[in-house]
Amino acid sequence: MYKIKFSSVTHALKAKEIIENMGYRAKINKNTNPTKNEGCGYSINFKGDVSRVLVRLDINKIKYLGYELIR
Amino acid sequence: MTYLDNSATTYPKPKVVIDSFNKSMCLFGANAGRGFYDMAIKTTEQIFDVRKKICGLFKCENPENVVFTYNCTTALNMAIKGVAQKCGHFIISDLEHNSVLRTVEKLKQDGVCDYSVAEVDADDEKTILNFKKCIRKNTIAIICTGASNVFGIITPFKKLAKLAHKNNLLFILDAAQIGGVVPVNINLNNIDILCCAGHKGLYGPTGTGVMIINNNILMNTIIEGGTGSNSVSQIQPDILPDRFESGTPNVQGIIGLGKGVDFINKIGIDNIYSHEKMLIEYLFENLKSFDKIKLYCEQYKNCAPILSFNIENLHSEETAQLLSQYNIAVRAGLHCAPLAHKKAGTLESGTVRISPSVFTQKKDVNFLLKCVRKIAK
Repeated sequence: MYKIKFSSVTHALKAKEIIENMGYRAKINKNTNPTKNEGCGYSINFKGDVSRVLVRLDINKIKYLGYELIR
Repeated sequence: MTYLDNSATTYPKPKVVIDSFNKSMCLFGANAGRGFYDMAIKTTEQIFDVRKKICGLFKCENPENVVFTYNCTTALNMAIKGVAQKCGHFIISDLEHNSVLRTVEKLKQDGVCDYSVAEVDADDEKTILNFKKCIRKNTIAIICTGASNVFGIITPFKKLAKLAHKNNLLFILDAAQIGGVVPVNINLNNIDILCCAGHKGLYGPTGTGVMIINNNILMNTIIEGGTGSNSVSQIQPDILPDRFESGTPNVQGIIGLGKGVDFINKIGIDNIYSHEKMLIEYLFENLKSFDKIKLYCEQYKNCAPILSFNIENLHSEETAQLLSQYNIAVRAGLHCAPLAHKKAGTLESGTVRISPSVFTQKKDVNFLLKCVRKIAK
């Protein structure tokens, strides 16, 4: 499962819709382990092809902070 | 009450707007974009849905480019001051509301920007030429209303937007009087920033407005504060819509606004325009036959459904007061648009303004006509 982090909830919600439209189940969460520089933020967890998702997010001008593989 | 002051704010609001507003006080009472308990995220999702609806209405691609404001004035202030640069210059029309005029005047008095006022002519080509003549090397943007809030005159805003882009200028549209009444396509119409009230033609609650940014420029902010994002930074985020949405949003108002957009989509903007236009044309034709009535245009062709008139030897405020005795609600005076009144020669008298909504019926106009006839006798 992957976790993509966002600073803006609007971007996170838009990303969630895009990921779901790609056929993946996505869940939005508050970012529970922000780094020092991130502050408040949101994350989306999903199982799927992360590189395809990131390309789609870039095309849709969605700003994300980064992503990580989680269990 | 016979309510004919819909250019100020539409009344009544559709039942779906009232119901959703009331219901959301209970169901979506959390602060949006902050917490992550169930109600907070549901509230945030509701607001996101309204962004998408506004996008749909103005054919904007990205919901994050929709910034919620508290009215059109706030939106225009944010837009104009947001793009202003030291020693810059703006061009505005001679039909602008004080929300534009006072904003550019303030920038002028602060020594930030200068501005020119271009005349809107009955001939669109002359209007374009008038704006073109005002372009300077340091011009930043053309700012223009979609329609006069006094006389209903629809400006050639699409052509002006083209002119702006041709000259590498921004185009800012004040859509207060045309949003929900005249179709606007932010991309096809070359609009860089669209400002609109939520409580007029979009039938939302008061305290709502939108600024849609259709350009990649990084605009300055006039309000800074908590956005629920990137909170560790002391600097306002550059990400949209967060950059321009500091502080707790008007959650109930925004949710109600979403239902207002649903309402106009259901009826259809073209149908709304036809209905209101029919009423105004009917009013115009009848008033024309009255003695002692002064109308301010020869015909109502390319106009938003707004009509101004005066009764001979009566100040517009007196007429409005007399009409209010018949429980008719109209707006008189200068309508916060001194430039438009100066142009029409009504700076002293003001005008009585009639503006219907989709709820206005022919019997309301007939009642108005009856009362105007009595007053004018």
